[in-house]
Amino acid sequence: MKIKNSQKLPGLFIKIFLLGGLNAFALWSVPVLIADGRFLYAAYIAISTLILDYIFLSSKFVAAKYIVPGAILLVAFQIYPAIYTGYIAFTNFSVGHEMNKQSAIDSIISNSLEPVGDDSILPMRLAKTPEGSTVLLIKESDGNLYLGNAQSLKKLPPNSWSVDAEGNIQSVEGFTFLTDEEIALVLEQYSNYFVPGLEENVKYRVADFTNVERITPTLQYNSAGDYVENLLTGEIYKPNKEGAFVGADGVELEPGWTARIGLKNLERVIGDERYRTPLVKVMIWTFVYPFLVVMLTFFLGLFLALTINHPKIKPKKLYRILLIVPYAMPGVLSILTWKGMLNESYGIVNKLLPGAVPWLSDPWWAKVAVVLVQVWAGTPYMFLIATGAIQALSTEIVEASEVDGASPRQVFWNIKLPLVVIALTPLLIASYAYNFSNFGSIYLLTGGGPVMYDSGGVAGHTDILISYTYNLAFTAGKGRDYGLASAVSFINFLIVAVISIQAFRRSKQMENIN
Amino acid sequence: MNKKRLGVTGAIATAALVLSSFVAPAQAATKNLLIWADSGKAPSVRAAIAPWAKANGVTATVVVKDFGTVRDELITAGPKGLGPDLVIAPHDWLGGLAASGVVDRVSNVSSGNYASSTMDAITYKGLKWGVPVDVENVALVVNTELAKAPKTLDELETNCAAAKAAIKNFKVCLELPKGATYHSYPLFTALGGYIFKWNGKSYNLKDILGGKQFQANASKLDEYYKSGVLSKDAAWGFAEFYAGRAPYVIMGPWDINDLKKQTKVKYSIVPFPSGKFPSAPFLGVNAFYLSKYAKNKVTARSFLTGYASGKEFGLAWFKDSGKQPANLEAQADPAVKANAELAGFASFSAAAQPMPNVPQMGSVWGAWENALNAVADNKSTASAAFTTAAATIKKTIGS
Repeated sequence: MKIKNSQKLPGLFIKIFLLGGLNAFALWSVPVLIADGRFLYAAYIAISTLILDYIFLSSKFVAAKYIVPGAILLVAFQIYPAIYTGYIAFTNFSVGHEMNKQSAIDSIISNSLEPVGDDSILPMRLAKTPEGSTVLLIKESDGNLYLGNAQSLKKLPPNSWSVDAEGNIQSVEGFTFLTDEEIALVLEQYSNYFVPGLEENVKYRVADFTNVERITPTLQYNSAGDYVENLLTGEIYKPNKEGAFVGADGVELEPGWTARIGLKNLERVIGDERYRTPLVKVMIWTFVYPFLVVMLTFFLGLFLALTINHPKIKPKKLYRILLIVPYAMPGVLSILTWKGMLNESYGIVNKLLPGAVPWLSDPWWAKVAVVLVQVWAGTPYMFLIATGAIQALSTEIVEASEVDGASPRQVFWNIKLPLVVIALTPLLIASYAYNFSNFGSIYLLTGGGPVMYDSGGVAGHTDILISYTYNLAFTAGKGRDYGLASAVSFINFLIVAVISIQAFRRSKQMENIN
Repeated sequence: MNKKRLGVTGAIATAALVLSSFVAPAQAATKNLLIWADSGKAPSVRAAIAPWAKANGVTATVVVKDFGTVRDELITAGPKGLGPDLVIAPHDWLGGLAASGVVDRVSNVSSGNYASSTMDAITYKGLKWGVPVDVENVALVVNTELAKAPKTLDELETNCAAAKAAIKNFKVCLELPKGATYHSYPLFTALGGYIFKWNGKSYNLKDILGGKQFQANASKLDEYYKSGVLSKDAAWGFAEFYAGRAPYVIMGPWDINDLKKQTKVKYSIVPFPSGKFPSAPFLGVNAFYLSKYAKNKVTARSFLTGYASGKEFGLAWFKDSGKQPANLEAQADPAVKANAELAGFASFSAAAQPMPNVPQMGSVWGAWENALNAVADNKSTASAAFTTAAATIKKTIGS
């Protein structure tokens, strides 16, 4: 590589340092990810790093230096999650269906382990054989001492060992007990360790530092037939298509696993009256809410911009600063402040008004409240861009129209407004799309409430699609239904995409007219 | 490859290696135990586990986790090997944790150490999970200067009528915050209510919110709002009780510190009176659960069965947290019994019913609160409101 003379030394150092850091990250994370079985992520990081190294170590590809890092992050943090959400929409990923089938089977079997007999806790010591391998010495309740490992259990001659008064194993011929340090080192290897027992299906499991527990599984998985059998009753649990083993009486074994269930989630959303009824109402509000917000913020912002832009208004800077304050304030803070001010019994707004307005508990007033608060939060932005657009208008056109005898009103409606609207249309669309999914504003102010009485607490009268999705994901069914929520957010995504594409096409046509 | 390129490559490699070396894990040869607890419980866990950890050579680490996210983190971090060995959590999480398959059963804890309702709380689908740590329930707190402790619901009504006449600026008699679900459960049960019908072994998820049994007495609830026993203006904070204008309030042990700070009224803590049906508070049990993905299962099991379920731990827990230990021997200890407030709450605990631990509870709270609000605001009769709520819960649980 030829380092150009123009490239200053500090810049080169920074570049090498940053690239070094990137490579270090890749070198560290790729083996970790591979060990974790996440080959897709590992490959993505490896390939991205190589591409970045190549681009930045070369003196060509100037444009790529600007575009590629952003594109890599875009794919990782925007496109991949969108695709993943789309995938989840076709599964039953939810509480009780969060693991793969093998883990679910392991879980079911290990949860079925039952102690055998009333004396299931037996004294145990870890010891070394003369050959140096570690074994368990188990004092069974039949009075014998057994030597066990994962493969076998062997009775020791009765005269070769002794116990103390409390029944603890004291000494065993030919074996040395592990010291505390040695125990600490190997102990946790016995977490999921089973020693075969005296009877069929009975096993010993290390219960604590000095005991084993005699246990037996009550359920067994038959891999040839792909079913779970209850060893006590003989009942058979067969896998259903929704990721669970189900008995003849309809009882499901928990946990289940994540299964692909095709279009079922979408069918539920559209076909099931429980979800459809609130969904239709929510959908309507999801379109109305951003429309009201965008219209009101735009006209209010434009009005303020025109007013303050007027030559006769003097402390312009002061007004502008004051107007930008709501914009500069963190949204979370201002929304929570509004929530307090709109409180029905002790909020400042109701104290100033003659009557008590049920701002947050009446379906209609709550809608007014969420729109008002978002207008308050969004107007400064519109004010800013409208000011910019007005100042960018060529004064010649305005002056020319004035010379032609247009009244100030005509100048505004026929000249300024159309020009400003054309300039700002893409921003208005963006604002509409933003408010279409403005989760924070709704969630923080009303939480979607007041609750729609007939939705079982899942939907509220101010819920928009995205906050409804959130409620669905975290309160419906057994508590968390990511599959169903993904299906709804997938619908949300499609709508936003269609609106955006359509609207941008329209605005392009308008520009052409212009 | 020229000299400069070599230099650049070398620099990158060096930087990479240096950074990589920071992340090599260290090996330790002691017994370890990792416990997750929320910030309210973590100090008590640390204090109570210390003697056992020292005696057994265990390095016990208690990591503070945000209460709201413990459950999700357990489910996501566990399978990746990043989860804890034990987690301490309220028992109503059990259903969700067990259904997700992220906790292991602890079958060899002696049931004799605990009250049977405590064991019911950590029982899910007929199997026992976890080791109970402390128990709590609400009770009726009486302003002894304003009224007597009522023995029956009728007596509460008469006392309230008398209080209404006698107290200046009277607003409410039983200061039960509007929409309070958990706190209103003793009143709900006294009127025949329940969340899910308990059939002695498990919940019938189709028989919801009191059914016919409550419907027969539901009008009492409407009546109470009209007569001033209850009030729709009652909000969280117990202002009327603190000001000495309300004779009764339902509180939990967690409210007592605030009560002592806010007011000087003389009070006693007694069971809520029974009506046509026996009154019952919810029983809340904090318990240790063993993660399915625990790395130190043997140590964890040793702690649970050898120490956490015993009297010594119960006393240590009481000493640090001031909460009623779940262990019966610890409860009977003079040091615990001497605490007048805990004794007051304990007087109502024999009647306590474990809050349902089925994961479907998520659908219940909202609908139940709606029903209570609708009654308080006089938008609907209690009978109609609870019928609607039961129907909507049935719908959400459905499928």
